[in-house]
Amino acid sequence: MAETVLKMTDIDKRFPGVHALKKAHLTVERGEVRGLVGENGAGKSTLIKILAGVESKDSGTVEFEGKILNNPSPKDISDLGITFIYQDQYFVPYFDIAQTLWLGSEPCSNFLGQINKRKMYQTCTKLLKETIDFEIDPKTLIKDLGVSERQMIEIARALRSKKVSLVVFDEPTAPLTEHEIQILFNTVKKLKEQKIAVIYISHRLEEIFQICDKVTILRDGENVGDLEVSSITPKEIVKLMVGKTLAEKYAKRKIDRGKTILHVRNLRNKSMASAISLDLHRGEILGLFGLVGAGKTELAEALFGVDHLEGGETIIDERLVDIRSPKQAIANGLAFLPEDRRTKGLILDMTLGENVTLANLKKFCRLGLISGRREKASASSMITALRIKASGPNQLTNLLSGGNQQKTIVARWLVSEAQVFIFDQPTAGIDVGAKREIYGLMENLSQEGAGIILISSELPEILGLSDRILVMYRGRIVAQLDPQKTDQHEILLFAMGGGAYEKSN
Amino acid sequence: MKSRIEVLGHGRKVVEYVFGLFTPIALGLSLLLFSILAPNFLSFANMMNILRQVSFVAVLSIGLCVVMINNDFDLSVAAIMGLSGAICSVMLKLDAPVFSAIVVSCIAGVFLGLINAFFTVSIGIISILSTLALSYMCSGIELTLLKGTWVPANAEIFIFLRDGNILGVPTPVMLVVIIFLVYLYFLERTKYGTYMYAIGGNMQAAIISGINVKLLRYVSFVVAGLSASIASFLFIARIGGSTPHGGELSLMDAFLANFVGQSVSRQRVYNVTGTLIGAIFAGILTNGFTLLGVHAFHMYLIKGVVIIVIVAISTRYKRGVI
Repeated sequence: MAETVLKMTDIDKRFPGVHALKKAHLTVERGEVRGLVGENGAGKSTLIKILAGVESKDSGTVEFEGKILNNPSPKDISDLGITFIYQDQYFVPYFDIAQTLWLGSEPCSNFLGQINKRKMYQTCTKLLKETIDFEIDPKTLIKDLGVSERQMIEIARALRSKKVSLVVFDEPTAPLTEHEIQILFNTVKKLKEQKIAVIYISHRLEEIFQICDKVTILRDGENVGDLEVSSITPKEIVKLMVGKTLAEKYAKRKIDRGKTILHVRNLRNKSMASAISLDLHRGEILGLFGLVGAGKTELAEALFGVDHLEGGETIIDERLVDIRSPKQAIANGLAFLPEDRRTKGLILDMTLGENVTLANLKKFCRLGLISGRREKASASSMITALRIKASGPNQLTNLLSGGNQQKTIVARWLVSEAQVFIFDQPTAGIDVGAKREIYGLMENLSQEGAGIILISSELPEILGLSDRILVMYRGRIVAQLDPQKTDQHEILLFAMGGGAYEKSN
Repeated sequence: MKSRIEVLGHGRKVVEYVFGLFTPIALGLSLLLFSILAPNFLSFANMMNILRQVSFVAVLSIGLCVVMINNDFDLSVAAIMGLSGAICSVMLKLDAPVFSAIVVSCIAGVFLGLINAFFTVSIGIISILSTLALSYMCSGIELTLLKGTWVPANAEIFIFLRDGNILGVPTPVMLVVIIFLVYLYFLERTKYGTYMYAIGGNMQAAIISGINVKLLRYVSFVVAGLSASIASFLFIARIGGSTPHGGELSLMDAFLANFVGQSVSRQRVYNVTGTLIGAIFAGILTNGFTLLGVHAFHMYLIKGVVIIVIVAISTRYKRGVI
């Protein structure tokens, strides 16, 4: 009978306004690879953060190797032998593998702390071979390694310092190439052979089916399935993730699709997996759906000239344009509303008026001096037009609510006479009422003839607002769907790579 | 993930290689230039002269290097050197015993290093600002102590520090070699050195590896302060006392030495060996241009240009542009 390593039962967690976990549970046995899946916001990260000791739980019990843990600190968790492999990696780029592996606990040969280099390098080779069966010159520098190799070093480092009984992988494959993913899977298998338990969080169904033994499915903070992977199909997993109840639909108005306003062919750059082509019409809201790491933001940044383009052509309003910088993008009528509006969109120490006029200051200048009067007049009219709740143009933007901050950015682009608006996760972290207002705003923009690309990982939002839906998976557009004819299951299946998986099986 | 060189292609690789060797080439060229234009330059006597001249800058620079490895800056080292020298000279003038004058100066260096560390590490001011402010404070105290004029430092030990020999090697050179070897040992051979490189390379990585980052940053500022005090003894021995603003130009030399040191290392990291080479390079520039009759005023300009060029190339090289 397999031995249970981790048993989390009846975990409950509330954040202000959100019931993140409702009596969730997660059990992992020794030598088992347990998949953990769920939509964005289903509670995966909260559950893992509670396990890591980063968040505290409201109620429930966490039992590890038979002992009940009471509000452990991250250090306690690490001492118990639970290790987390995150996407973000912390390395010293100019250290070699042995230095990295031993950092913080070097073998010393005298009281002055002289490092025993011979021992360090010898044991490094042995350790890499034994723990993860990885052969490499320990003198190789970290900066010369690929992402997957760095992950392996990180795993080896975790296994070196202590007895490890549980390794948690949080979306480990997002930055990896196909070949690197196979290397990672081999490492996971090595861990399994050593009877180490693994929790594997992923958005990619094929990976779940390749390496997991069992899968736990979360939806809205609740367990909706704990199943043997061999007894289930990708479709069934998606069905469980989405559930039956469709979230309330947004009022959908009929649009008149106008001329093509944006026409992109074979756009390529370094951070995208493949060349991208898409069309956008006047008055159209084009939904772009994909899960974390699918490449949505990369695509948006490529369109906006943030990243160096390597090829492809962009046609705006029947003119071939050359967009190599955000400045050129703005000049050609593009507007980008980044996901993280507080750090990338607004200058929080500036007033509403200053933020609104920022992208087209020239319009407000006379002889190179900014006319405060004109700036205020323009900002005031925007406050009225967009119904921004603010005391006036002089209000500092960091005091505005999330929704009103978003509106301020929209106002900026209206002032700069943008034609194509790219909204990247516009409603992230915004309450329900403000969401409605932003949806209304997008509808108004499209009615006035602007083209809108709505990037989102929230299914109801994409389904409710879009006139057309593109689904991205691992840097590619894998499907174009009509919101009238599709449903959440189909979209999610494509977004998790299930479309291709179904076909190939 | 492809390595940068693969992406750049072969032509770029050659350019990268040449620019990677920029500093050694510049060093070689300046040696060649001086030996052709100034006949005395290559003589043994002049070479020894250069080494004596650079001795205090060398100690100052390798002290600074310890801070730079941590990815901090210390703009106050030259001012600490000036103040510590002034304390020593003034105490001697007041007939204090030599030993106590030296000890008090060293304590001052350590204390000023602690102040730098406190404001940088504990309060969280960026090191460029905190050490710049301390530098002005030190200059202020120095000028007050010296009352704005020259104060001689007459003691046997300073004559020995300037003109003496240990095992046939000039005392200042011997002192530099000893200090250099101690620093080299700690930075390159012990775990503490590795930790400092880790802090400089990725502080987050150092923290999650359980390294006491705060303590080590404190230590590095204190080491830099103490090194500046030791440098001040060589300095006042060399010029015979303390003069207002006497150590000013050494700040530029110390940074020049560190930037050269960074640019000669393969991974573009600060290191004491490179810094020592850099300090000698700074001395060669001073000596060579002096032999050529270039006015001391112009040395500021020349060294400023050298610093900006070396740093520009290192910066682009690190970003992978060249």
